[in-house]
Formats: sequence, structure tokens, C-alpha cells
Amino acid sequence: MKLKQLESLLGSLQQFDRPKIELEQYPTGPHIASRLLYTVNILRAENSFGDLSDKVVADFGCGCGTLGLAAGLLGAEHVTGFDIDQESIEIATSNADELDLDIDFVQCDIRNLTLSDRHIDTVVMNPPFGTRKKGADMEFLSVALKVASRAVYSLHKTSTRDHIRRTALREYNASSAEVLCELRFDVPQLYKFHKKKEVDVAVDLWRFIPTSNQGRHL
Amino acid sequence: MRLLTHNMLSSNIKGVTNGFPLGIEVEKMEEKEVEMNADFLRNMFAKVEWKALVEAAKTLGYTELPDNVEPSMLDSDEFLHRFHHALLELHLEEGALVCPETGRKFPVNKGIPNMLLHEDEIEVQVNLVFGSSGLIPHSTPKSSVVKIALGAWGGQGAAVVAPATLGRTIFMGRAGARLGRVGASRGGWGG
Repeated sequence: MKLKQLESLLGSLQQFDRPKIELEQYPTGPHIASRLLYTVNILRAENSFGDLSDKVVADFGCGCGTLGLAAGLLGAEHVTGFDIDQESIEIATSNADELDLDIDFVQCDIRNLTLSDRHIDTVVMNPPFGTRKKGADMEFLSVALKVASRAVYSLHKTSTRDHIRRTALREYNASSAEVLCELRFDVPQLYKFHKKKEVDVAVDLWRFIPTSNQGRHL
Repeated sequence: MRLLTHNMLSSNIKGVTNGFPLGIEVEKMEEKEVEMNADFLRNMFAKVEWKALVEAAKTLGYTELPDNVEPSMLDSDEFLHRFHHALLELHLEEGALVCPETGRKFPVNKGIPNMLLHEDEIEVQVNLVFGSSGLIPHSTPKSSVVKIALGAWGGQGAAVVAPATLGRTIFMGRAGARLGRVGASRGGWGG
């Protein structure tokens, strides 16, 4: 699939109606550019690493489904999206219908999930950055590195880069942790506590490789 | 929900030691045709819990999968088609997934299983947490967290794990010095 085609398909997706701050739901709807950047970069990564095509992919904290759907469009054989919020999954479901993609969704709390560590090749995720709930993104990463057998693609705030790398390598047993690129995530003024109209947050797109699979696909 | 997703899920209720495979109650199932990818199936064959797939397929009314399999069967087109159909084309739309130990039902609506746990079903993780005196495994209800921490290990420095529902661990260094911080954190647990 061509990049432009992918961009326009994803650009048409529905986003959160009523974002929930406790879940750090940030719709990127009116700010399509940022979301597309992620996807575009995952696409680039996909071209060099082959982590999506014909693979089983999980989207953790899928929200409205953008990343999982992008994975589906890019040739993942099977995608399951996981999210705690029913309304988000409903939107994600209708987005999948819109794109004519057959994607599974599971409503669950990622932190209390027992998932097989054999079925899933690749986890893609845009986790809560932990600005409201400290460490939320690390909890997601910990689970992702346990279940993925091939790779984890994840977004984290650039300001936490050293911490992410150290924790992934030392505590979560990642065999590699690589920042693929740094992006600007423009967060629109959604919630009352936002003082500025729009905030630019620097985020990193990471690719982690779980230890047990070191070398398997090199 | 495809049976591939069913094949990767387990019950995670507190105290359950073997939550796999989840039973299936069917109110409504669907078949959705998708293109077969033989290489994908050959790759998945080693990863799938075969017995669970066979049972799940049977529950959805598909009985064509053999009970016993070996890798050589992957050379057979007919076998691949059956495997493909069971793994990717059968969908549980309405019904429930059932914990094999407790019988607790996880409802499935519009193809989406609700695996959220009730508060009393969540495992309170007994994490190893460090204080200046070494590793202290501890778990406790949230109401008593602060009191116990200070009472038991005040002066020594201690750390306490909040219930997993809250998903948050509070680290206290030297107790006393961090009193204010604990209080502040506590406020954040309301939600």
C-alpha cells in the first residue's frame, strides 16, 4: 500500500467523542499530521524489519484503533486490539468496518491480562504517557515485552528516554531498545487543566526486541 | 472474535492457577471468509494450543479438525483449509467466555469479550520492594498502607505495594523524610 493511500484512509477515521482524562485519551483527530507521522514511521520501520506483514499483531490501549488498523492495512494477518474503555472499542469497531478490516477487540485492563507469550509476533502501542498516572506507559511496556515474540513498537515521551532504555534493558529483559525517530505530538487543549491552547510534546518512536527472540529473525 | 484470539486468552482471576482454555458459551456465531495464507498457518501451527482450538471449534459447531495432529499434515491442502477456517473464519459474536476453574463468565457482546475483572477478583501482587533495610515483600489494603508502612518500618525506611487495581507502587525512602509525599500520593488514589 502506498503511503498517501494509507494517510488518507487513516485520516478518515473517527476519534474519541468524549475523551476520558483518567485514561489519558488524546484524540489526534484534528491533528492528523501527528498521528500520520507515527504511522508513516511505523511503515518505514516495517519496510526494514518486516514485523507486520503476515504477522499476528496486538495493539495495546488501542483507543480508536488507529495503529492496529494501520497494521491491518499494511498486511498483518491478524490483529487484536486491547483497550479498557468500551466506548473507544465501539469507535474502533466502526473504524474497522469502515476500512473493511476484520480485527478482533478485547476489553480488558492490560495490567491484569494473562496473554499467551507465543501467539503474538508484534505489539504496537501508543500507551498513556503517564502524565496523569505515573508509570502507566511502563506498565504497558512491561506486558508488551512479555508477550511479543518479535518486536514492540511504542511511543514514549522523549524526556523519559534514558529511563525507558534502562528499564527496558535491565528490568524487562529487552535485548535491544532503539529510538527510531523523535516526533512532535501536538496535544490540543482538551481538558480544563490545560493552560496553554496547544502543547507540543516530544515523543520517541521505539522499537524493542524481547530477549527470548534475540537473533531469531536477524 | 476469532478463535485465534480465544487461543491466546486466559482467565486471570485471583487464585486461579490454570485459566486456560476459556470455555465458550455460544448464543450467536458467524463465519467470515478470509483469504488463506498457507505460510502463516504453517508458522502458527507450532504456536497454537491445538486441543483448545479443536474444542473451541466444536463448540461453534465445526467438527472437521482432527484431534491429533503432526507437522506433516501441513503438506495437505485440505488440512490447511480446515485449520484456516477454524482459526480465522469462525467468530464468536454473542455469548460468553468461561473461566475453567471458577466458572465465572466473561460476556461477549458484538464479538468483543469483556475481560475486565471485578475488584475482588484482582490479584494483589506481592512485589518485592526495597527499603534501606533490604527487600520487603508486602501487600496490604490501601486504607492501611500508610499506617502499616510507618508503624512497621518507620525509621528503617520501607515500601508498600498498593493493590494491583491501583497499579501503583509507593516507594518511601527514609520514613519521616517522605511523610509529605506519601500523603500527597494517597490523595491521588481516590479514583
